[in-house]
Amino acid sequence: MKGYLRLELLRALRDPFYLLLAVVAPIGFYLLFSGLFGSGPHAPGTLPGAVQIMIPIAVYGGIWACLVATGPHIASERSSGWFQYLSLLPIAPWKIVVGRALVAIVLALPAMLLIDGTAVLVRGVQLTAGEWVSTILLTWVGVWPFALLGIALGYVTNESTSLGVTYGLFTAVTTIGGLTVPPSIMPNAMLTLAKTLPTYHAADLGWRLASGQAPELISAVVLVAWALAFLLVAALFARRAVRVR
Amino acid sequence: MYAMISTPGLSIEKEKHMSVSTETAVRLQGVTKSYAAVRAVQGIDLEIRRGETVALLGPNGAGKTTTISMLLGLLLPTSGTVEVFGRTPAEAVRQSRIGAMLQEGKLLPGVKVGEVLDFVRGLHPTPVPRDKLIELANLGGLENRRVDRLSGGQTQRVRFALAIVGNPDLLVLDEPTSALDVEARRQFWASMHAYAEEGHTVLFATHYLEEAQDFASRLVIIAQGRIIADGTVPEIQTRYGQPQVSFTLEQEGAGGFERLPGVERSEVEGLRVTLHTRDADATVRALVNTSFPWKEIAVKSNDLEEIFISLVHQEQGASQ
Repeated sequence: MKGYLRLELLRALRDPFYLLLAVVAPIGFYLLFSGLFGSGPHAPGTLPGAVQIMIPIAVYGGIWACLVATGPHIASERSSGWFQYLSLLPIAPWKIVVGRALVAIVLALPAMLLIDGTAVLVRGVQLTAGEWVSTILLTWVGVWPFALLGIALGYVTNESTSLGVTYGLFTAVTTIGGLTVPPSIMPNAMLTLAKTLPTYHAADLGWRLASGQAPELISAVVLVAWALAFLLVAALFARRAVRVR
Repeated sequence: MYAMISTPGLSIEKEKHMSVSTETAVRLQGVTKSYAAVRAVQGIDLEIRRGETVALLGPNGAGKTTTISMLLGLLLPTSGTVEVFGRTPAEAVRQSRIGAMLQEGKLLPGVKVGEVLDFVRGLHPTPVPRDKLIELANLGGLENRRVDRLSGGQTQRVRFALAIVGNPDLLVLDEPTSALDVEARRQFWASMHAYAEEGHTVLFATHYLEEAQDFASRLVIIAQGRIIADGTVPEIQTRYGQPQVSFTLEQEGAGGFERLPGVERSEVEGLRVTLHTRDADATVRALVNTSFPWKEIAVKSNDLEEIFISLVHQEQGASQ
């Protein structure tokens, strides 16, 4: 499986859709938003704008990394004959699927760290070591369910629809989930909706940890519930796709 | 041993016959495959011994790809059994005993030739050494090229390398040259020949009669999901064709050639006699044993293409 991880990582790192939307675009967003809203005064007990914005944008990049390395790639490999070739190799199909999930979550980390690095270097963000470690670690874990969503999308969509569907869904859940629209300006109904989504809770973990608070249990519940739902869909469609008949 | 053979139009019949063993590589018994109302394969019995190079020859839609997919475990037969080296295809795959090059097969975009070869080499217990693989598949200088930036011929060479990388005992190729130009095709068959020469069993599907004739030791002709002829080229020619025995008479006026064994009809043009026979051997033997004077004897076997076309037409006519 190590060989497969290596191959997939190399390939994903050279994918322009990863570099552009998971790395370059989020850095651009961060610089833009933090430049516009980041330096204003903030009330005691709340986060400075540069930190407040850093967290959801890092989650945004991490989620796209998870999705792009799975959904569109799996969909195109299913029709290109590559999956058929893999099925003629002495490697178990579950290793391929687990490998894809691992590659996705590994790729999310550099995308997220680059946002944090930009925040430190360009906007002078300062957190304690403990805040950094816990924030980075838990927001990273918070995007893991999206690796499962990406795998599910890879089996549900086909080669021509996959990138569009994946990007459309990504835009919807990141916007409604409060990553690109701050939850503080959302009307109540929208905020209620946001709080049912894994995107909101992945960022909320970070918002709380970066301000020295403990994260809420509900975040873990929502994230695990979505992860299980994505896993179920992925397993259902993957089984159907690989069954020999 | 892995040296490239670059003679055009090479033929491997003789070598292949010598290295064929009695061990069964592939056994299909009563194999059928139906999709909804369509019976793609209607009952195939086929046994291939280790070391044979077999061409699965047939027109488009004959059931070649379906048969190969069942042989590789990519499809399950509707009825009948498929064995590869006495095991199920899935087991044979797990033991790296099968290598295959399928018709459909883009490579993983974004990775380099060397990277994908290393990945697959790492999966097999006894892979072909890297430099030998490069040499055998003629990939020198392409290792650092990304697979999505290769020409059609180069892609096919990488796919060939991926098929043989595990040093499989059975190599299966489904219309491997259909997208290639003449030169790429010649190079491809040279690589295939070099691999087959090592004593590996090779089964390839093609609709090019010429390729089947030049590179296979045995032809299995299929049409409408059935095997309609099976044997070496000379066997098929004698079994299904009508060879011609011709000779020159010393003087005009001889006749009654139809009484010779095997002869179905005769033509006389001046002093030259042509006999259409079912059995050229028997006809010639009988001629030798007559006291009747003849000279300049010639035996012409039937054109394989004519046999192929007439067999396929018969089968298509019969099933309509």
